[in-house]
Amino acid sequence: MIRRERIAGETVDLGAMTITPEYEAIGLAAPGARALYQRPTAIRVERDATVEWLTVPDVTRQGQILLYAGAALCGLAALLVSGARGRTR
Amino acid sequence: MKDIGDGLFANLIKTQEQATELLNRLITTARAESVYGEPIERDGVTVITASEVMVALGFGMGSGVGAESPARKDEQESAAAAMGGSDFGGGGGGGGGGYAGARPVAVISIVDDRVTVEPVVDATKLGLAFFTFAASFIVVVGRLLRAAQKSD
Repeated sequence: MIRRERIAGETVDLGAMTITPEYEAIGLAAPGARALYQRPTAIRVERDATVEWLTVPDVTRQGQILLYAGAALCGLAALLVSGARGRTR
Repeated sequence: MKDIGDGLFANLIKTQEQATELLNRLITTARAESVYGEPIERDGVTVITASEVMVALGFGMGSGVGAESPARKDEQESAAAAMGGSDFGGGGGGGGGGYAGARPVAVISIVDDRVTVEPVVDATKLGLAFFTFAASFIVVVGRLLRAAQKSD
């Protein structure tokens, strides 16, 4: 069973400002196995009756996805080129 | 023999339940505010770290009792009687493993009334991904060049 939820963390009071961090938790439960993955998503900044949301970007993960997707596309292109060459022979 | 087998299986089920309970407890412990660190304040600057956390645990166990083959039963019984033991054979085993890791994602810094989120870049991971991409790109370009040369 896979469960995914957004959880608000403990609120931090800093004078006139209140910060509430939020994170995403993905849990996997199988017979004899458990896995839990948590990543920060955003922080909620509250001051003077105004609420501001700041996202927490995961630059490393975004870069990895981009580069590995590029590598996969290159691999696919290499296979297509090989296939096209095989057909023309 | 059935009694011994039942006892072994009942014991195994009890052990599995205990192991599952332990897994649940470990996961709950890992959940407790591990993503955002405690605020650290120095010289008017408050810093909160944000990390990605992954915990995975698993276990497996099994047991078996020796089959009572009619052809070998007399032989086993006589051997067991000679040794003064029972004619029962069985065994069991189990194992488990796990992984726990955390990676810093960003640092939240608060200076006066200004809140900023500064991302943490893992150059090693990005470098490895870049080299993978570069290698694939070189292979594609090489194949395209070879295909172009052959078609000429």
